[in-house]
Amino acid sequence: MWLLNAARLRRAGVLGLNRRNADFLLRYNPRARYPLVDDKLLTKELAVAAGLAVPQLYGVVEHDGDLRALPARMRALADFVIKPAQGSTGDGIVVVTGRVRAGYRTAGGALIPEDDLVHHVSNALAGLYSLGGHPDRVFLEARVIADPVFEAIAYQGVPDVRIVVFLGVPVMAMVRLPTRLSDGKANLHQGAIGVGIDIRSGVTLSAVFRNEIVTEHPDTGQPVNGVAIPHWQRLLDIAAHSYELTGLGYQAVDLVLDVRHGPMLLELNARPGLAIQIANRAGLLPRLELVERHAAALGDRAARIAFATEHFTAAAADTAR
Amino acid sequence: MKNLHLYVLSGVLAATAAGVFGYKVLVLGFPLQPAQTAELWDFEARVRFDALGRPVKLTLQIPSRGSGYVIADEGFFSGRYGLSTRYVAGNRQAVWSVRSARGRQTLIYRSVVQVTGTRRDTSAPAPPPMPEFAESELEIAKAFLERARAHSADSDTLVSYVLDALRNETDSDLSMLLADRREPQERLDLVTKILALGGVHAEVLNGLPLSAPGYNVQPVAWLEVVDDDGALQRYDPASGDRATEVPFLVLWRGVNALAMLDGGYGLNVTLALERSARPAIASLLYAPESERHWVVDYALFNLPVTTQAAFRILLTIPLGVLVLVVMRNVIGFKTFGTFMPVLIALAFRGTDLVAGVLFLVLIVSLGLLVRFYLEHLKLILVPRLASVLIVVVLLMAMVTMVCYKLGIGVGLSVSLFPMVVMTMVIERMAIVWEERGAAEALQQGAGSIVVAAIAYTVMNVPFLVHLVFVFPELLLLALGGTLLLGRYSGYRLLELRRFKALAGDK
Repeated sequence: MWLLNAARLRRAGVLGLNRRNADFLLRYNPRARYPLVDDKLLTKELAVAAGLAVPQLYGVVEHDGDLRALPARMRALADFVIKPAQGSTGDGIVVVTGRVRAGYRTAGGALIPEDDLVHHVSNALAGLYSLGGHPDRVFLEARVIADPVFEAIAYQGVPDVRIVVFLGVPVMAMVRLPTRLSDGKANLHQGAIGVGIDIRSGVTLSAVFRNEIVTEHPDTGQPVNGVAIPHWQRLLDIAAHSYELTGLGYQAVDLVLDVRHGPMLLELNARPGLAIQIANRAGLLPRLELVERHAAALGDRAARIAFATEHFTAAAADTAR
Repeated sequence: MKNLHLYVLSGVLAATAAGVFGYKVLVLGFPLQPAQTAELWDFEARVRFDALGRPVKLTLQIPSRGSGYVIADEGFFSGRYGLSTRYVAGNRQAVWSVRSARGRQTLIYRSVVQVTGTRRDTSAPAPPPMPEFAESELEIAKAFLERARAHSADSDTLVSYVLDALRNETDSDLSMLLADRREPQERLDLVTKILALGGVHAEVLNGLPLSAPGYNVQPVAWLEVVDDDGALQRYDPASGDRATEVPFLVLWRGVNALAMLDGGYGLNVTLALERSARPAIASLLYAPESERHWVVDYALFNLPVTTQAAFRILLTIPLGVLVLVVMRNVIGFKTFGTFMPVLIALAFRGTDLVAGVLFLVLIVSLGLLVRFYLEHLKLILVPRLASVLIVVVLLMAMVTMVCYKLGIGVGLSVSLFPMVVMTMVIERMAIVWEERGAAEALQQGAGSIVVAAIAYTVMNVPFLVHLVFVFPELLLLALGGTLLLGRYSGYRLLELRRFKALAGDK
């Protein structure tokens, strides 16, 4: 019975929420740094200043007064994404793919009247999607066109790569593939699949779908493992770089592969979820403890990435068995 | 060691709690169990009215001697008023007066009543004067008395017969006599007159039976009769039986008003009766100032009775919060809001668990329907919340009315349900519903209700309620517990199920 699994999970090194919060978040993430990560606009500014590629920023809506000018700004763009600056887990994000008469078409295929979009932005400004309900800013940014490598295993939407970085060392990674259930969103809570990625090779492993292990995409039926992620070294580099960007010891980096611009930083997350472990069929704890032991000895970014590619690979685990 | 500071702090809190607790129990003799047989009762009469800037005189009937108890202690809260006590026609009254007063006035009388055992009191007063009956009534009364006498053998059965006739309204003569007498004390007064006609001395007692505690209780009218042996017997007209086991706190005898006000309006008297937690240490409490231990002096049961009642509830809240922390961080339940379940548990106090849950589910479901409709109107955040709140209040009124018409009594106590809590639940639930889907919303809703139900159960265990009220230092133990849970890094129970796919592998 699953009730008796505690010992087995501990042996497998699975990280639980309490342990993550008590021993890693509270210890390595200074509270003063959270706003840098919770506010996507601040993250964008930091990334641009450090020379990291991000989706282009079209404009910011800060006050209710800006709402009047918003329709004109939206009409001037072909496609865009509306994002609340402090939203979490994809809340409040609207991906607009085009305009039809007085309405806008979204990535999921729905048609939204212009008034509804403005109302949505107004809600977001009032703090509907922000953590704690604080008044928020909303920004428009360029839509990412996904790299075709994912075409067979994603249902619309844009897959993103999440890499968990601990003290600047990438420890675990997964790619999140949208499904019909998730309505084109790469959000595990809403039904997307998470596919584990081998840190050394950048090749996908098995996947998790609603806490169950799967090997095929539920909508396309194609196998999800064995896919090589392009520009893998660059992705690892951006991930490791984020440690210097924010100073947070335990964070997750969300990256996308744009067909024109290549790897781009989408956002950072200071409280990453734990489903990545199911996607990789491995517990986070052994890797985190290994990094903790060697963190002082590791120097620059290159050394940290080398450490990760050496130790955190399914192949190494296999030979250990 | 990793968490040394925390363990030391928790240890200090636990030691303090244990120390004070141990001292109170072992040395001072504070009672561990809620008093099984209440030997002491706290009685409070709270008088409120509005004054007009004129001289004010307020007269209040206060407890006087009765059989089976003594007034152990008494206190008056008079403010600027002058106070005097007097006897009028065998009744004890407190008279408060002041030259001029304006605005809301509050005066309080408190006493501690010690039950001394229901000894047979043979010091019967002198026989009563012949009752005054109007001529028209006298013949009817005599006729009724004849019938009653024929159906009884002694004073006890006679009284029982008369009280039965009074309650069931079976006798037409009696009903005729009762036509003008509406109030219970007036009706019993008629009974005393009829009994006196038959040579049985009886008197109406107005007051409270010392059997059930209550806040905002109403005085009842009982009958006190001198039986054939010359002993005093009390009868409860609601049952017609002799009430020998239950002592009766007498506020006044005969037909009178509980309080009379001159120079003000809006008179309101609230009576409260509470079992005293003091039985085992009564001697300590009533010791002269110099001998009284300061810990006893600062104990919570020196507060006014109504404040005590509020504190009894307040002090159980940490218990509910402790339950909440365990349910969320150790078991892994998901709930709306951080403390919402505890607020809901408090709301259940008025309705009890099952009715409360049903009512909550009903109102939240209806509220959600309205909330989804409001989505179409595209209202901004704050006015939308306010609209939902108003709708919730109206829904509560409607549901209460429907319950009343259907004869479901419990529906009438739901007015105490906090509507703000329900509005927030509806709003949060609607947002989670739209953002994460129905499953997540219902999961969190179910989690909130389960946690609230468990918290409510724990917060109402009589032994625990007694324990935290008499030994508030035990809450330091709860504090130490929540501090320790703050660094609990083990798996949550429900996580074991979530990660079960990983348990088989290595």
